[in-house]
Amino acid sequence: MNAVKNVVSFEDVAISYVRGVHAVSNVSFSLGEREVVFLLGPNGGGKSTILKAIVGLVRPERGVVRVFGQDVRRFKEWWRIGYLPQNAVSYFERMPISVGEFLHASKVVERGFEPEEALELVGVENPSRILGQSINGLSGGNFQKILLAASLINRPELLLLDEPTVYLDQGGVVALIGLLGRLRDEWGLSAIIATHDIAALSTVASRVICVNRGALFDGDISDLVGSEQLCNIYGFHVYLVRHGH
Amino acid sequence: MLPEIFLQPFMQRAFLAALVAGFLLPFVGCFIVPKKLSLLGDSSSHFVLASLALGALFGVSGVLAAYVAVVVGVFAALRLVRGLGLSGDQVLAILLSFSAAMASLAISRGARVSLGSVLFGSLLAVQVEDIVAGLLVAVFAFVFVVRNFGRVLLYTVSEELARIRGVNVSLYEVLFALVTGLAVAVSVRIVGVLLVTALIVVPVMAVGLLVSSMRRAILFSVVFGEASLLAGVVLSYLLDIAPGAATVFILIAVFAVSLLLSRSGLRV
Repeated sequence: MNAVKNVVSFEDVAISYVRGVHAVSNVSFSLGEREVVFLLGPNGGGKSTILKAIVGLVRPERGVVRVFGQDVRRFKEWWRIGYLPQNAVSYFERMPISVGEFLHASKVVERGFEPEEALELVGVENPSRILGQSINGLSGGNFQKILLAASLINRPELLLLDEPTVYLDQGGVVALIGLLGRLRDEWGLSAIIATHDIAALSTVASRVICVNRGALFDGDISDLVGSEQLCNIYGFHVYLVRHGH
Repeated sequence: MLPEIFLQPFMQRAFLAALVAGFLLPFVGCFIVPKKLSLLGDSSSHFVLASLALGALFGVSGVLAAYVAVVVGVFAALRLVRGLGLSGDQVLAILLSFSAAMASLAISRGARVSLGSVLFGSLLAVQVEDIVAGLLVAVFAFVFVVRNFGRVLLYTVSEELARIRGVNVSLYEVLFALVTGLAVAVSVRIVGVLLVTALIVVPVMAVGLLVSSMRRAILFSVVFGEASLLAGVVLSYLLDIAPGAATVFILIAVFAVSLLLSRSGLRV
């Protein structure tokens, strides 16, 4: 029996949007409790597809996706997962919805945070002032924080972030790093972060899974840097620059 | 003494129909417009037109057939939008054209339909069945939205976000089709096939410029819709013009005022 339970596991998964054309194939990996992992790869490489498969939005054509040990097709406890989708700005176009209404709607379990608490958690200054504002009128940075607050409002055990640093300035990225580290230590949160901005976030975790229509590399970031794998994944030479924080 | 306008039985029916349609159409519009399905009203009303024309051609009349046809049509439209991965307005434009073509075919083969009143609305065409059915739909829709406000909001924002918050998206899709289809079907006779969309789209567009929450958008859209349609019915009686047309002129005037107010920075 494993000492560490798998929060997510992919077993030889293939997913297609168009018959006969795999968006991803031969993907196998697992994520343990309190583990944070990066999904790295080019646009269209399948990062978002893998995250969508974990929340059951796309179904595998082959293989099995398990969440908290259960086949995702039978999984019902969605509050245990927080999901920050990519390009969510378009969801709110033409909709006069306030921050407070959206966060209230996102809270589906009693043990979750109140909207104001969730905003404080993600570092929104003066949360009570922003609750009544329309989501459409927010800056890009605040919009991203609202989505992050919504994905954390039910105190999830697994967090899926799709390009979370888009719209964030350097201060916002540093705050996100601090928050992820704190939630992992305090809640035992596990996370999968699909990003191009791996250098900025590399202090949170060291494990990287690289995908370009399949899982091409699963290991420590230090083994990836300078390896031929990056060239294979992106199709051209890539230099990875580490930042200090 | 009540003025003559309130004593005529056909006007009493028209006012009741206006109250029902003035609530239902802007109410469903608050969810249709953010879901980027603005043409759904037009497509639905053309389903009604096609069902009326085909019913007349084959001698099958009755409001129930029209209700069923429009609900099935809206549900099929929603499934096609989701299943084909096309944008809502593309699919709805195709279905709208298909329904109009079916109606045209039936009329050219001899179906007798009073096109003027069906397309532009009529005070005389209102039927009691529409008022009763509309009232039932309005009560159901209002109670459902109040009791499930958060889930309905998530379903409106994004079906994907709703699904991963445990919302039964398939059930909501059926209810959305049922309420939208019936809202249009019971309103067509007073508002007209071509003008139903105005009452669905314009109130929420006008109000959306000025408010920052869905609760206020729903409240003010319904107030705006009711006032416009009731005023349209009065104008229709006084000036002997189609009620739908009179209402659309009022809606557009109020939209222009909202636009000016929003440009001046007003937010409620």
